[in-house]
Amino acid sequence: MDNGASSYRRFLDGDDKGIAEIVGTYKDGLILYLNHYVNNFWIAEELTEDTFFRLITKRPRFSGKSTFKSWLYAIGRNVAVDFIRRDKKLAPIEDLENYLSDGVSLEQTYIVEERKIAVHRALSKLTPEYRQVLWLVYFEDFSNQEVAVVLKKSDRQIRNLLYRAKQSLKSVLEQEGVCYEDL
Amino acid sequence: MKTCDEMVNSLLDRRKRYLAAKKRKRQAWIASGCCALVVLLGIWQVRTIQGNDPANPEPAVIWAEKSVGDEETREWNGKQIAVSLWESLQEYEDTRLFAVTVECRHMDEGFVYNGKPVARYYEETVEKQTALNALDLLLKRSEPEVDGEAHYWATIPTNPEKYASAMQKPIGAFTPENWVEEYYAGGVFLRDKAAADYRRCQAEVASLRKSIAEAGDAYQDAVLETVMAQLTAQGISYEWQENSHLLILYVSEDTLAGLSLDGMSDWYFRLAEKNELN
Repeated sequence: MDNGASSYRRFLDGDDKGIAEIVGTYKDGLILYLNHYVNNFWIAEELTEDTFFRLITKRPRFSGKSTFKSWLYAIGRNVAVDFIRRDKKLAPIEDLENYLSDGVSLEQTYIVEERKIAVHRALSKLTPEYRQVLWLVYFEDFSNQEVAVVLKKSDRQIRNLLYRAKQSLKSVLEQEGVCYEDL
Repeated sequence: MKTCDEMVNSLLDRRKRYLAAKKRKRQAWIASGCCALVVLLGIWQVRTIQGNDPANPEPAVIWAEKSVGDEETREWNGKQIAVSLWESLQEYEDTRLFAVTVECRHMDEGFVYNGKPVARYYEETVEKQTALNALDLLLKRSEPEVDGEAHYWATIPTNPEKYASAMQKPIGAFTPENWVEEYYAGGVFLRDKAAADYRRCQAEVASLRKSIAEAGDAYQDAVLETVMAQLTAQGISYEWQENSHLLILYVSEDTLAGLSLDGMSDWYFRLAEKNELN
């Protein structure tokens, strides 16, 4: 049982510190992941909070068949998909300066490595589907099976998707003068 | 962006509001459920109470809502029934019970009451009533203020055709031949004597009518005893009200349809009224 699962178990037993640990561990990564769905850090942050809110009100059962992180990200993905279905037209970003600084700040605290930050910014030029799969594999270290759980696809579909996403990322990076093989 | 602590606090606040709203919704559901339960319980109680009314055997019995007096009848399954009963039979379900009275429409004039056949009561009543009418006529026609008319009647013996036409036919002592002997003396009308006879005759008629009514009740009781024996044999429940000479059957439509009584054409069925019971 990973730390997230342990924290969640303690939360279900009545210890609110459990949810505080989960938020502290997964908040930033989840925001960045959900940002690939909505392309808006503030909305991604709200969706992240909504994901945790769903966790503490619905109290879904964690079976342990996957990692806690992939299970949490799958919940986050459902929240994001629900949001997109409900409000396809996203609100325009009015405070662009703060918005960009929030994104940069988050990259710097969560991703840390400059090379990875460059890749992350390149991801924004890809399609949402490619962004999501590459994010989960390169930045969250998810296995193909875990990505399949989160995205609700088969292993074969994930392998194909990942291949096409890599080709697309390579093309974008080469245009920006970054050698993909160096990463 | 929110820090971890801010997000956790926000989450816990939201959860608090969410749980409070959920509790309110649950309480509203419970309250509305209780209201519905109270209403259903009330309906059930009303139906139960109505069904258990001691005056009404189970299930609820159909009574006449009000007195309809003498009613037209219609034939239904070989029986003469009141129109209001027929309408109730059409209106209510087969399973309901009807409070039905059975009465004999005809009276056997040979039935003896107080040592005298009913036919004799009728004859005496007609005789006395006719005499009463004749005396009434004589007294009115002899009024001083209508002297002209009184003179006409006073000369009856001299005009027997007119008298016979007015009186239809002579009854008992009141014949054209003895009329003058009875109420005239020396050509003077004996008003006091005629008035006394009128009052006596009036009392006799009232007494005879009373006797006929009593004879009718006695006859009804006698024939209903035979009806009760037949009802018992057919397993039909009934109630006998001795004081009101009322026999009430509690029958379903099917039972009433299948009811068989001797001399069925003499019987008349109608819905009983509750206030007929003693």
